[in-house]
Amino acid sequence: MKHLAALPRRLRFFAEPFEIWIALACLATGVPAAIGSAHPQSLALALRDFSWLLHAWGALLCLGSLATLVARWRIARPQTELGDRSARSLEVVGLVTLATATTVYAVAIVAVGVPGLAAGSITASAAAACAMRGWIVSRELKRERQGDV
Amino acid sequence: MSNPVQIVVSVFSGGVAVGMAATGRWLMDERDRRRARKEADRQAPLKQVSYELRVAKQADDILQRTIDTMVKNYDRLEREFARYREEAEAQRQRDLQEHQRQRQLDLDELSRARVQIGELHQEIEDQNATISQLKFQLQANSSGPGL
Repeated sequence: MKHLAALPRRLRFFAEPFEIWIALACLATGVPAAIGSAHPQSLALALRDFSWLLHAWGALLCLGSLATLVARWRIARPQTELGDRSARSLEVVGLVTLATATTVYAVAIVAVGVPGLAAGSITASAAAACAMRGWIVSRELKRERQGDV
Repeated sequence: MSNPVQIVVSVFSGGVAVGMAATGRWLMDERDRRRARKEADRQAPLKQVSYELRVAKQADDILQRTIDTMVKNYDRLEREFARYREEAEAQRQRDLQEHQRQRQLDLDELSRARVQIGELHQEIEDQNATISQLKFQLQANSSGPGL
């Protein structure tokens, strides 16, 4: 992450801004879903016979968000090469989890019908962005691991 | 099971599988990081000891060099002092010999002077005798008729 050095220290956490804001939004959505206080209507409709999946989805959002935020926080700090690699692995975990959860949500929204296509496409874009970013980071990590051998 | 649910469950399963694989990777990386950190922590005292030993060796070298220099200086000073003592003793002997020679000369001179004084005394006595004799002759001659 060489571009981090060009940023002021307080901005390094936001070096990948979309991750931070999507993770915060997912955390805000995931906590009520995990504890069962509030669910998206579209998802509740799609999974009406599988309420445990709603909780699992909320938990997945929370886990993914936390993993991504912790990973970005660790990446922003000065650390060793192995520490940086571990933090980026954790970022991949978070991004994959967020991509899964947002894809589930996008499917649920699209399943509502034509009115859900617009909102579903935005959610699907977020899922694709997370998946794409996760794939890019995992590719970098794979190359680094191969370079170590 | 309705169609969206099937898709959701499929996505869920796939995502969880990929997430598990990513988690496994992360756990391995985290294990490597912790091992490296533990190894660094384990080696930290050894490095400290190594630094201390290195500093102690440098101090020992400096001390050894200082002692060597002091020993050399001591040897040099001892040699110089021995030479000084020899030279001082030789000078003292030379002064003593010169003094004895001068004293002998003075004694010889004194002896010669004593001899001369004796000769002078003898001469004076001779002269006195001559004077007495002349006085006597003069008296004898002056007590004669017509004088």
